[in-house]
Amino acid sequence: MLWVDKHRPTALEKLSYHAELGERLGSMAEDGDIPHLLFYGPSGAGKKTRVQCLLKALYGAGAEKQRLEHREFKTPTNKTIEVTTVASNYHIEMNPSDAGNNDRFVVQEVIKEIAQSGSVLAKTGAQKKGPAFKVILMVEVDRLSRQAQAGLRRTMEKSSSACRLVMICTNPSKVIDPIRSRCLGIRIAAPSEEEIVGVLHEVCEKERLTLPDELAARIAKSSGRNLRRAILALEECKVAQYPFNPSMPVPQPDWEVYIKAIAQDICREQSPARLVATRDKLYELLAKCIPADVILKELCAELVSKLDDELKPQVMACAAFYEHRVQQGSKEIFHLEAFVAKFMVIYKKFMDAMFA
Amino acid sequence: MPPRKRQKATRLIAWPGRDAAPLHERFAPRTAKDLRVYPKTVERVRAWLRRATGRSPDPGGYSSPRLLILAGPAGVGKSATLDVLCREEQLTPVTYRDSYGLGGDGFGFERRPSDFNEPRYESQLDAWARFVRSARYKPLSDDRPAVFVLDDFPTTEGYDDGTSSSRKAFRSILEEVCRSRDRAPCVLIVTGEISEKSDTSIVAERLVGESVMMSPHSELIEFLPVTEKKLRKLLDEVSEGAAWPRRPTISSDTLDALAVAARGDLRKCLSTLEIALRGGTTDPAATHKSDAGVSDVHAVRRICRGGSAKRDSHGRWVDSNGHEVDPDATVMNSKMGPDAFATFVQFNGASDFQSIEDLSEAWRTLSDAELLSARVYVPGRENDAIYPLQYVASLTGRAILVANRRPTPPSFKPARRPKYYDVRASLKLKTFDRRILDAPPRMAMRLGERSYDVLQDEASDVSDIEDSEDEAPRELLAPQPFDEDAMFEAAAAALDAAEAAERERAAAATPAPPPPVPVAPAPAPPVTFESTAPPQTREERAPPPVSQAPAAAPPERKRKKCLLDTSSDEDEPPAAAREVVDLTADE
Repeated sequence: MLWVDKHRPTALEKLSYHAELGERLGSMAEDGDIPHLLFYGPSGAGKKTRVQCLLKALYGAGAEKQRLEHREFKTPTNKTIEVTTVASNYHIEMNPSDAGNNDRFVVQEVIKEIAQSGSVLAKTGAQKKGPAFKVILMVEVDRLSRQAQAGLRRTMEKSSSACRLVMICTNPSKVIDPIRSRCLGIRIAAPSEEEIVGVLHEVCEKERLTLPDELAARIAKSSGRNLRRAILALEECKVAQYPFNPSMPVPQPDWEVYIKAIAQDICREQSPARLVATRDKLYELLAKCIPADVILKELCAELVSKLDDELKPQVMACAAFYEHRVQQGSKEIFHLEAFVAKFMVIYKKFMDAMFA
Repeated sequence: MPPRKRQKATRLIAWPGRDAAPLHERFAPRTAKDLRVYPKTVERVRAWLRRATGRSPDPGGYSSPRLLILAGPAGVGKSATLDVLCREEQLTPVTYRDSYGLGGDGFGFERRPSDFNEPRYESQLDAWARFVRSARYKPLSDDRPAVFVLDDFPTTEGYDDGTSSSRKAFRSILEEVCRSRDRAPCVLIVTGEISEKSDTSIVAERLVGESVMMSPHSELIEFLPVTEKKLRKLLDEVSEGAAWPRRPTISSDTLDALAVAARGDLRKCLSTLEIALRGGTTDPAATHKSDAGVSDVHAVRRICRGGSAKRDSHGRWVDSNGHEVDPDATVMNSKMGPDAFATFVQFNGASDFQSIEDLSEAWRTLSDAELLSARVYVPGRENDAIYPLQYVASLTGRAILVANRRPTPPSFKPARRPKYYDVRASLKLKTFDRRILDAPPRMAMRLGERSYDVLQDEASDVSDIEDSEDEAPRELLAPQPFDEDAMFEAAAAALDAAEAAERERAAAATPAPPPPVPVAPAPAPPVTFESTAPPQTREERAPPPVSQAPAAAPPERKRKKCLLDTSSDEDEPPAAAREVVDLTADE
């Protein structure tokens, strides 16, 4: 088991930071009733950890017995969609955006199903003191299509007696207003670097390792305030070398290294041939499931760090332009390549002017 | 060029007394065997006619058939099938051909004198209804059973939702046909547009309404477009028959081009042949090539070579051979459709650029095209899509044409299948774990075990700029709308095959100045993450990287498709190959 999973806190009291928030969630659970909730905050801040803790506080240890299920849904046009869900007796967790264009059917079907069976189960189940509703945990709601979000809104109203929705997203501005207004929004801020250092030391204590403060600080810094990333990096360091060397390199995700290489290539030469070579690398990244918007963001950050200040606004504007298109269109490669080409033009013009 | 297949072609014999008629009437089918329709379809129609006229028992018993709907694109032989079968089955077809309301003669019977007292004006729909209702009466002169053929019916304000009053009236007449007993059977012939995306049966259902479609007394039989092979054979036979007793003067290549250009429409095919036979142009194939007949390989290359085209004094684009380039038509008429076409152009076009500035401009335009294609309006599909497909076609066709001011010198470059489709296929096999984004190399591999997690990437923070107004499918993983996939697969497979043929062809051709250099598709340099990752130290614990299996899968599948397609579509590749070689030799 990875350390990230192994040392994940399972009770609200045991959370390492945002103590006040934990208390509030705890009192909500004690009360036995929760409104619909929308957790938001950056990646690796502990959104889902908090949700799991909340479920445990609501339903007791039974909420921790989870099983993986593959479910099939039929759309009206007779397409079969397969969605993976994680469920306990008290909740069901799903990522409806896995269903792509057909997410709205999945959302509505699941809620309907729970609304019909959920309350019965809670009444007759072994759990006596527990609340009489089931929880539907939806992750990545910001990636749901508009239609699905609209469908969600209607079903939320109809079935609020039998179930509660707990939603998780990184970007609440992509969730439509009607949904946001029906939920209690809970912001989970990213942990500060000191907090991350604290967690890293905690983990090392449990693993009976000694962690030099310097290394902890460097890992925290390179993680970009993403706790999951910090702990994964820590474990990778442990695998690479133990006892720790305070000056040992902090491993980076390999796709980032890869994007750095692309950025170097692009700056070295600006030509159609180079673009064709770069395209292969972009395809490679896409084939490894790296989302196009992440590629674009990372690539842009990497390029900008190498640039003259004069060029930065231009490049950022152009990146923003194409990032928007990546979100809107369906074939990302068009926009990624167009960004690379545009950057090449900007950069070449600048270099020509400088040396001419 | 040696004439192909000519020896085998049997000669068709023209109908006597129809010398002045168009070819499709002169050589109209005499028996069911002459029909170029799928034999099973013919037999279904025949069986229906027999049951409807009480000549063979109705297997269903209670449901005596009253209305037959023949649906299919234009010129595939719906009416011809019915004509031939009526003749063979000794039935009298009664047709309504009064589409302009010009009088009673077209009905096949006279108007009664008492019509004087009625207002002279009669709406088309009423006239048609009167005709249909007359099916209750037996024809007086003929003791053969009558079949009412509703080949021509009044248009009722487009194929809408059936709310307009004329549409309702039209439907109620058909419902009446289904309900009433003791009337002559009716055959309704519905012509749908040729389009791979719209199903003619849907067109038919929209026209006649659900209750008629669902009635036990009605039956729908669909006709498919005539295959190119069948058309080609027919062209051979007809051209033999038309020229008899002399040898036909038309070249085998022209016939090939005509068969492709007709796109399954037999009548159109024969009328273009007629023009060709009359010597209307010296090279009829040339005029049709620019129409629909170009193979997709050639079309992609033509658009990618767009940079070498110039504008003439009339503002038209003319390529280096002096032929007019019509980017919109080329893209629109491609079999794969504009959205897949854009992907092909984007993948294959880059090597025709010399300057990155031009390329950037063109890529910007292609990005526009892609953006619109994500929101193209498709009738009958429920979403917020609004743009016509022509926008995508126009942008795709012009992106390189306009932007590439300094094209590379001409050389042989085969059009290749975009990698995008391989990537998408491989992604379909993978479950997506966003934690990979946070994981250092070795951890990423271990994460492969867990396939399900929530965690989002940081990237979305930047994307607040997105106006939340429109939501389009944003994921590579997303299943594409309807069957673009399927269409694309077919097109790509054909391309693969054509590409192989091109290379063979180019290799076999006598070297012309400049010699065509077949650029063998070099295998992409193996770029993988594993190469950048430090060597694996704990192999015993790490599971094999998940990504390898899917990565290996696509090529295999691709090859299989390619094989399948070459067997079914043998006519196309040589034509395409010829054209590509021409292109390079002239420049």
